[in-house]
Amino acid sequence: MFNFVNFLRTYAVLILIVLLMIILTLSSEAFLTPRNLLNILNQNTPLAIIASALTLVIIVGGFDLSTAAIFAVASVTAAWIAINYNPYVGLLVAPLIGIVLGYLNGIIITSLKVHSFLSTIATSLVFRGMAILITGGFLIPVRMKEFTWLGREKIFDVHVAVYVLLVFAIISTFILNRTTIGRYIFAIGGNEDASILSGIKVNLVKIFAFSFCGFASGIAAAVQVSRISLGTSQAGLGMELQAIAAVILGGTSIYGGSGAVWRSIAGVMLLALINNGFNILNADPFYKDLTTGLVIIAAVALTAGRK
Amino acid sequence: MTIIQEPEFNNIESGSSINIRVQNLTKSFSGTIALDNINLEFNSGEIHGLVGQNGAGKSTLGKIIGGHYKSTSGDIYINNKKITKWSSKMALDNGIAMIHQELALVPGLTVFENIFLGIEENSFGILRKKNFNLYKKIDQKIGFNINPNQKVVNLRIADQQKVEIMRAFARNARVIIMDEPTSSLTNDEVQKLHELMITLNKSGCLIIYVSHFLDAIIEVCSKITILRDGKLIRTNSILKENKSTVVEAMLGTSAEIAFPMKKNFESKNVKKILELKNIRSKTGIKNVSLDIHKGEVVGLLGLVGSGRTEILRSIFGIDSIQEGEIKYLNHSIKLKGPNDAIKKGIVMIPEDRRKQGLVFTQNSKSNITITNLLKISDYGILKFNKEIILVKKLIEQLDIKPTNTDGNISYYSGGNQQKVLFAKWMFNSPKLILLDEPTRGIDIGAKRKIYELINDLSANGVSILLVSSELEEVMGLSDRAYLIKNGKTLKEIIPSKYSMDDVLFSLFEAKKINTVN
Repeated sequence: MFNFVNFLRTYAVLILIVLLMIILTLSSEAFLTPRNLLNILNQNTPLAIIASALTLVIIVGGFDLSTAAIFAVASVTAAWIAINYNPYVGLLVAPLIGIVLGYLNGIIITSLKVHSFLSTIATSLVFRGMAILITGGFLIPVRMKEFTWLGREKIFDVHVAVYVLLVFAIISTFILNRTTIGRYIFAIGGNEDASILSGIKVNLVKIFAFSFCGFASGIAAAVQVSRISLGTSQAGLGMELQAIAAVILGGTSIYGGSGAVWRSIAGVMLLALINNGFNILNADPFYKDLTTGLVIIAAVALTAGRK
Repeated sequence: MTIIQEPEFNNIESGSSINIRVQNLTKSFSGTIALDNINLEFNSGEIHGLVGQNGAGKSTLGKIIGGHYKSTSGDIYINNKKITKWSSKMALDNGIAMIHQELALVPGLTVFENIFLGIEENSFGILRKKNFNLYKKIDQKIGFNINPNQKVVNLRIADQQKVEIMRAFARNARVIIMDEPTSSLTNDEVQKLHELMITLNKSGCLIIYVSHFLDAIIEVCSKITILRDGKLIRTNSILKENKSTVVEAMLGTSAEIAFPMKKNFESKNVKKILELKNIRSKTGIKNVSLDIHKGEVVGLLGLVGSGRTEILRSIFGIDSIQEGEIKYLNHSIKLKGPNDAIKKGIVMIPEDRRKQGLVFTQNSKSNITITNLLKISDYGILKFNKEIILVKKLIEQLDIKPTNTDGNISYYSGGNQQKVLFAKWMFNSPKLILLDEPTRGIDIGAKRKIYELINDLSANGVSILLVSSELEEVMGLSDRAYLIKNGKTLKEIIPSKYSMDDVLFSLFEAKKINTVN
């Protein structure tokens, strides 16, 4: 049975990407080169990592608006530890901080029974505040090879960060589609009451999803802080909304219950291509936000919103 | 009587007479026939009772006339004019108001605001000062004496119902359809409501009274229509009927569904699996004691609102109990929630498969295995091959159609969805199944299959506690049954030695005693 609405929801983001790529290829020779494409991918790895894990949160029926704030705390902690202790430990601590803060989100949401939309707005302020306290309002530059390799080095001409994204995306997809907890995530997002009556420990699953999302924000932070070799409490401002936009662009239902990781990454790429298009075409950057907004509306009209 | 003078609200007395006729009216819900080719006429000056068992179609008929449901086929004529489009708004515009079982008020607004909601006096959209005279006039006529400035959320359910009735008045309703209006009223209030109906009736209103309180219907109605299984049995003047004739007609000779044969169950030889002793809960269970043996099917016989579902919920650990003891396999237990119950082998198949049973964004396979993923996984990683093999077996055993394991269950028929729901719990190999309305809204073929399934399960040693609004079903399937009324177990019966009439009469008798007190 061919279902046109479902087809659009699944592939709209790919169709838009292909369209945009054709337009850009025709307009500029600089676009369709491996170098440019890999660059786009590399630049957007942190956002793509967050969007991958955020997909799980949105499928379970939640929202996480604190990813960027977790990203900031993890960034400045990593930089601080790198300077004061050991750069490798710094990079390793970032994901752990992410897990802890994500776990906190999960605990607050399930124990206070507040909607995650509301509680993560609040925790994002708390986390951002923590980041400011850690830096004391200063920037923390880290110019050590032992720290910057993660964001800057290449293996076989491809940035290490891209491999990190690849591995993370595969893990996320595996969890979602091949494990019991992934099955529970889909079930809870689809019908929470039925899930409770089926004996699923709904709270535990939600806490897992938020912890995983925090974990992703921490990894993303490690990649980014290593790349720019600078810890700042203002890191990732606005990133939480970009991540949500990317997931929704990919056709994951905001009501929960359905979605896929690869589509969220495609959503990130769609946003990135628009950005890249403006650069290589030398278009007036004043129109960039406007265009991005219109594309999001177009994609959402095709995919989200319908129950 | 010139009680209401404002031009907008002057039609209650002077309202012209109205005639509503339905012709060949049929209504089906996703394949299940709820109303089957009904021909019926209502006239002003009647208080017209619609009676029938649960699921006979009486509410559905009321809702179609009130514009809340669309008929599948057939026509409605109002004063001999055929209606082409029909909605609750259009019904209201034509003076037909419906008062629902589930009230439809805005809790945050006051009584006054609710009554005039949508017909507020205004100048260019700006509200005028509240015209309490208007309110008084309606109130005088009805005599409910509700403070118009009180917020609806603070009112008791009975008072909210009164607000609904006043709302119908404020719209000059010439026809008022009441769907089980008395279920939450005290006896005094029921009496008042009946007096009001008679007054209204004398002033030319048509009242359509849907209820399963037969005494009330017989007391107040002038005409009565009896429905059974969606079919019109007869319409008659109330003078030609009495309670026995009505109950007999409601009951019919329901030879349509034969129940599968079952062997005689001897409870003496097997162990008790569950025992409730004087259970009491906040959800309305007052005093329930019952027991179930291994492999036994025990039914709960009661009307809607008697506390049947609540009993199941307490056993399953959703609602906590305040007093009494639950013994499971000879041990006193206190369940913390569904998860706890399921671990012990107690499962519940809920009445509302859409809201509580199935996950419609997931395919048939995922819905079935969700209750016991441990069975098909190692270290949390799913084994798809094993899953498909096990699911295929269940699909075959239950004859679920379509037969594919990745079917989109939102396209399944009600009967097949119900089978998926059964498969889901059979996958978990339970010891005790709490079964709530297992055949609601499904066709005869699927019903038959579910009945066989219940028999098979009990033959294999699974115990079942069965709740159904279809009394024949409980009678036909249960080894033993309890009569439930007002959250109490009245008595225990052996259905095979008891007639349907006896049960129905004792349940309705029970109601009668209740309304007199």
